[in-house]
This record gives sequence, structure tokens and C-alpha cells, in this order.
Amino acid sequence: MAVTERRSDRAVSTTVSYVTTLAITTVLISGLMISAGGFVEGQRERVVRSELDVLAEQTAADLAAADRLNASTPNATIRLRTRLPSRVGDRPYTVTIREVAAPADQPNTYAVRAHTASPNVSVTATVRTEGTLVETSVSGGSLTVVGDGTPLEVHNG
Amino acid sequence: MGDVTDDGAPLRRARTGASADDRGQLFLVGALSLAAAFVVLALLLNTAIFTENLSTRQAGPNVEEAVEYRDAAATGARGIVARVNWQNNSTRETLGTNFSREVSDWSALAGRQAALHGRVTNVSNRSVTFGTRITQAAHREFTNRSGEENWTVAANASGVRDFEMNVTRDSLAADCSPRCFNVEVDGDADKTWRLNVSNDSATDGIEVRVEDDDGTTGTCTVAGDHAVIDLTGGTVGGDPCPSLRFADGLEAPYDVRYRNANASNASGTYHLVVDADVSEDPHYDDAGSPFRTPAIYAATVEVTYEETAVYYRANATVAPGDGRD
Repeated sequence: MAVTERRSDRAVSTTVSYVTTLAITTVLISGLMISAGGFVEGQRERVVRSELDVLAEQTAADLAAADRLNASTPNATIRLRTRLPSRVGDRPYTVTIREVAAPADQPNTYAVRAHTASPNVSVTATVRTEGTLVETSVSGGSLTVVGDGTPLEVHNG
Repeated sequence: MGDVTDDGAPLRRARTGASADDRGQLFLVGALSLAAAFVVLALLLNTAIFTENLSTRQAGPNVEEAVEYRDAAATGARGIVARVNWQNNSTRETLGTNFSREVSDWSALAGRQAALHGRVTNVSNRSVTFGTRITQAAHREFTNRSGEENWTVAANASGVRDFEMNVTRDSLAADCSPRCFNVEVDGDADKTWRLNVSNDSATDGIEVRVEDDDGTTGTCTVAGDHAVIDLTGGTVGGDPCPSLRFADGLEAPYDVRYRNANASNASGTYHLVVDADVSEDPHYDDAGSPFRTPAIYAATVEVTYEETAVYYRANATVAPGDGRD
């Protein structure tokens, strides 16, 4: 029966190899996850920006249509409803309408701003109107443009 | 990561203190995280596709249909005004009743058509302003029933519409000096607008000369044996006459008078609608003379149009002579 010599550095290389493998794997996977997360966030922002752009333009087009209808008949009662998504890239958003100073003898100009807080993205479309609009801010979703011989106003619903 | 064989498992278990079930946790967590990232990415891709779809939809609700319907309703109501003014004009009550009923009939017919396209529409009579239609339908001189050549056709009218006359050239004076037929409108503050009609022998036509209160004059000439002069529409013989702006510079109330309206200065037919009561005496309603009938001077209808995304309600006011071709 052979006498086995016991040394204190036995199996060290296996442990070192194991730990090294573990560390490298951790770094690789962490890197992969971080880059994937960054990629996803980047894509989310691009998608959100793209959709907000469309939604702002749609809202501006609705306001322009309502304004045309309102201008064609004084004191008309108008309700224009537009179905828009309530969330963009799974994020809620707001639509804000603000007047922009227009040069004299030019039509009224309004900025339609669609905004999400996270990611912090804002897109603004411009609409020129014959009549006046009420400055307002509404949460995203189906919108109704209302006028009753009064300045047009945007409501939720 | 599973072991390839079980031979070394007890030894490794002893060394690391871990069971075989614990192996590969890092990969598992990493794979799950990546899977979640891919799911989110797929959702974002879906959102992007939806966005593209949304952006290619028609921008804004279809408001043009609402405006078209309102215009169609106004055109229909205008036709009804013309019809009841000519054919159902015995009393104001009759006019009002017939107008309301015919508007209602029009609305029902148009509503059925609109329902085929998923729209709900309605037109109803909202208000009617009555006046008087003065007509000389038979060809004769432009005198009143007593043969007076200078007479007031309508007094104290705050509005005149659909004023059209058809004059015969042979009956007109060759020159307005010293006298020719003219329509004189006296407005507020003693201001006067005048339209002279004479025979223009140089062109074998009819000359219409307009004199505004401020002394401005303008002339339009049309060739032919007779000419339709649309005083409120501003045309002579169907052609626009830029100088012919009825009662330009005057303010209501108006007195409309004929001057020199005997057979040697003017003959033909005419009609007009004023928003005032016109008494029978001493000018109207004998056989062969001009006559007057109650008429609708203006009417307002309420138009309602509704579809999925559009609700629109507006008034449309129509009047005799509006939108004549």
C-alpha cells in the first residue's frame, strides 16, 4: 500500500480555476445584462419619442380639423373625439396645449406637446388656427375637442 | 451546468460544499434576465409597429362630411324657401307651416340616406323672418296699379333681397337726359342710390348706369332685346357688373322707388322681397298690376350631424335669391 504524501497546496489550482471561471462568467453576464438593459432603454426612448411624435401630430390635426369646422360656422356646437392610446411604450403621457406668440396678422399658433416623465421625452407639434384654443394639459388617451360658440377646448374622454 | 459523470461528485461536493442542484445559477439568472429584456424588446417592437399603424391612419376626424351635410341642408332649405314663397304664400302662417313641414320631410329623406353610412342627421326649422314679395309677373310698364310712373315700391324696409327685373330694350328711353327709368333707393340720412336703365342705340343693347350717393357712377352694358338685371346679385344679362352694388353706401331703412316707369321708359317684369309689410293700397293687387304676397324673407334651420367621432350642430340661415346659379 503506497503512502500518500499530503501537501498543503493540493487542489489549489482547481479552486483558483473555479473562482476565476466564476468571476469571468459573472463579469460577462453582468456586462451582457447591462448592455441589454441599456439597449432596451435606448430602444424604449426611441419608440416613445416616435410614438409621441405621431400622437402630437394627430392631436394637432384634430385641433386643426375642429378649428376648420368651427370657423366654417359661427356658434356651432362641436364634439370631435379621437381615440389615442393611453400609454406609450407602457408609460403614461400628457398632452399640453400652449399658445405660441405669433406675428401680427398671422393665425393663432399653438404648441401641442406630448410628454412622458420616464423616459423624459417631449415632442412638440405646432398647429395654426383661425380661432382660439383654451390652453390646457390632459393625460394621454382618448381626447375630445369641444366647442360651443366658445374657444375650443380639449378634454379627456 | 450538470456533471458529465458522477464519479467526482462526492469529492467536488466535499471541496465546494455545494450540491449539484446549485450549479449554473449564474447562467440561469443571466438567461432569465436576458429573456426578460427580449420580452420587453418585443413589446417595444410591437409599440413601434402600432405607432407606424397610427401614423398612417387618416389625420383627424372626417369633418368634411359634416360641412357637406350642412351645405346640402342649406341648399335644400333655400329651395324650400323659394318654393313656398311662390306656391304656398296665402298667409304667413301657411308659409311657416309649409316651410317647417317641408324641412322635416327633407330631413327624414336625407336622414335615411345618412343612416346607411352610420350617421345620424337632422334638420329642423329654427326661426323664420317674414316679409313681402312684390312681383310683376306679366309683361307691362313698371307703373303701379293706378298707372303712376313715380311711386314707392316698398317703404321702410331694413332689407331687400332677390330684386331682379327683366326689361325690354324697345321700351327704354334712348337717353337719360332729360329722363329715363330709374330705381331709386333712399336710405337713412337722406342718402340716395340710383340705377338708371336706358336703351343704348350704339350697341343695340341696354345700358345700366349706377349712381352712388357720393357721386360715383358706373356703367354696364349688355347687348340684346331684353336683359335681366339682378340688382341684389350685381349682374346684368347674367354677367357680373362691378358697379352694381345695391344701395352701396346707404344704411337702412330703405325706401325703394320707381321713377319714370311709364311705357315709354320701361316695361317688363320684376320681383323683389323686402322684410317689411307692404300695404295693398294704392299700388298693388288689381288684375294686371304688380301684386304682393307674404313671403319668407329669411329662415334659419338647425342642422345636426353625428357619427362615431363627430358631433356637429349649427344653424344655417337661408334667404330668397341666395346662391342663385
